[in-house]
Amino acid sequence: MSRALQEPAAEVRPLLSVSGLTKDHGGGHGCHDVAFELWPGEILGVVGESGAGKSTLLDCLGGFAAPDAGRADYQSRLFGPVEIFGLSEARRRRLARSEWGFVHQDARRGLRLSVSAGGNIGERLMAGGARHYGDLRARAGAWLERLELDPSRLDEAPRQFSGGMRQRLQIARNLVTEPRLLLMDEPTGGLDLSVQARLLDLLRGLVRDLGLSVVLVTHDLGVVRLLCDRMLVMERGRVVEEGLTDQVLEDPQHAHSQRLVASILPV
Amino acid sequence: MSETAIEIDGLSKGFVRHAAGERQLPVLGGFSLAVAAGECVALAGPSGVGKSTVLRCLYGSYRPDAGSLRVRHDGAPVELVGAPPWLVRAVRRRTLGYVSQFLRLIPRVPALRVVAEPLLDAGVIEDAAERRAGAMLERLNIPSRLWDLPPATFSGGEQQRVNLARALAPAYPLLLLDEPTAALDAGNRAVVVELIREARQRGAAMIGIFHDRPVRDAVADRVLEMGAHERAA
Ligand SMILES: Nc1ncnc2c1ncn2[C@@H]1O[C@H](COP(=O)(O)OP(=O)(O)OP(=O)(O)O)[C@@H](O)[C@H]1O
Ligand SMILES: [Mg+2]
Repeated sequence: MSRALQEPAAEVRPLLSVSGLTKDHGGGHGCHDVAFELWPGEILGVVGESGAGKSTLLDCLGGFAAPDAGRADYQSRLFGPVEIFGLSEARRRRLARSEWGFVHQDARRGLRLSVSAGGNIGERLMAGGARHYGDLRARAGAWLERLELDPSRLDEAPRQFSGGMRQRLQIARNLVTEPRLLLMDEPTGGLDLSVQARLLDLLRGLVRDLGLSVVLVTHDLGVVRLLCDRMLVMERGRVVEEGLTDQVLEDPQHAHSQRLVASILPV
Repeated sequence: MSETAIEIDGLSKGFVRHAAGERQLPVLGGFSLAVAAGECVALAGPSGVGKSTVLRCLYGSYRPDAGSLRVRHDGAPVELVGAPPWLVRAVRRRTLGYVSQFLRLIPRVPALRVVAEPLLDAGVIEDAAERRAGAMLERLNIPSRLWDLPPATFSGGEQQRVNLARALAPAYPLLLLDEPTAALDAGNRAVVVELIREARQRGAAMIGIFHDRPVRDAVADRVLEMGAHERAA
């Protein structure tokens, strides 16, 4: 392994390193002793049946739930290395609206439905100190276009948008500050197949162009195959297998992974 | 003989099917092979003997049970068994190309882009990547009117040629070829033979599976017949 020393440091040091993450919801639900690393520019898929603890894991990382135990070390652009569960509320907020993004399955959770599309996108920029109105509008418009949304709808409230449009708006709202870490919970869940395909395609391009690192929770192995470099398989709150996406899909080791792969992919 | 580019030593691999009462299926037991730069070795043997399994273990899609897989990467040998994922990805990006028997389709991504993607991943700028991708598609007789269409609707032979273009455009120093000419007509088979010979000329080390005897004879420096003695006990 002497080669490891010659690799650029960015490849050797994970952006996020989670260990011992536990959140007990009672009755066997939650996540238990979860550990993984996320490397810069990597998309990590987290799969498992519903109730396997995927969203609990993501909610803890996103600050929507407090873990019972565990740590998550993150390489911040602003603050250097930090442990995110021990951050002060002020710092956590600051990271959450600049370096991190969180895309909810239900876009209504991640958007302000009564605020215009432009306002939704501009919010993080304003929180970061941007004030120039024309500039904010221009940047919001550019992000709408990038997500294949009609920029002339900048002043409409997302209440009137379709599900797929709302999801793209939620993603634009998150990406406008060029985060390093994006957490996504079933981003294509509940969308028509053709809308899903288009969204996945957009995400593939954006992740490459922006050098994003992503943790993506889904129960859809097709989504993982298309987007993810690496994946974790969860069962009853625990990670039972991890590996490169093609390793887990083509040569699953654990009984539960074999079951998932067999049930979804034609062999 | 020039330097060793691929060294497989004592590779063992089997499968356990948990749903079938933990049924064990041993496939490879102590398989070894060394390939030099500029050499093309053909794996032969009956169906199911484990030829594709050797290639998939090398590429990292299958996880070996035992043994060592060393490849020359950025000028130094690296061990792939137990390698961290970022290293496997780096080896795939810069060193190791793999032609699978079937094209893995990506919806909505046009053929030219499918071929250019590995070049972009390796850091080639967009213009140059698309030019090289186009040149390779042209050599493999994919008409330019198809370049901006996703290959999902292409014929089997066209898809295979897109697949080949994708693996051959980056000029990897190591290539794994799993029946690269299976779905091709005589004219395109000849093109592939030419491309493999060119890769050998520039010093690529290759392991291939060629069911087509004339193709195998035309490209392979030696043939490794896999049989019962390769199998796990
Ligand atoms: N992912 C897998 N899970 C379970 N068994 C597998 C898997 N991949 C291969 N095998 C088994 O391993 C054995 C060797 O398969 P492999 O594909 O390597 O054969 P091959 O020599 O390439 O054959 P062919 O000439 O037919 O392509 C077969 O019995 C096959 O069923
Ligand atoms: Mg085979």
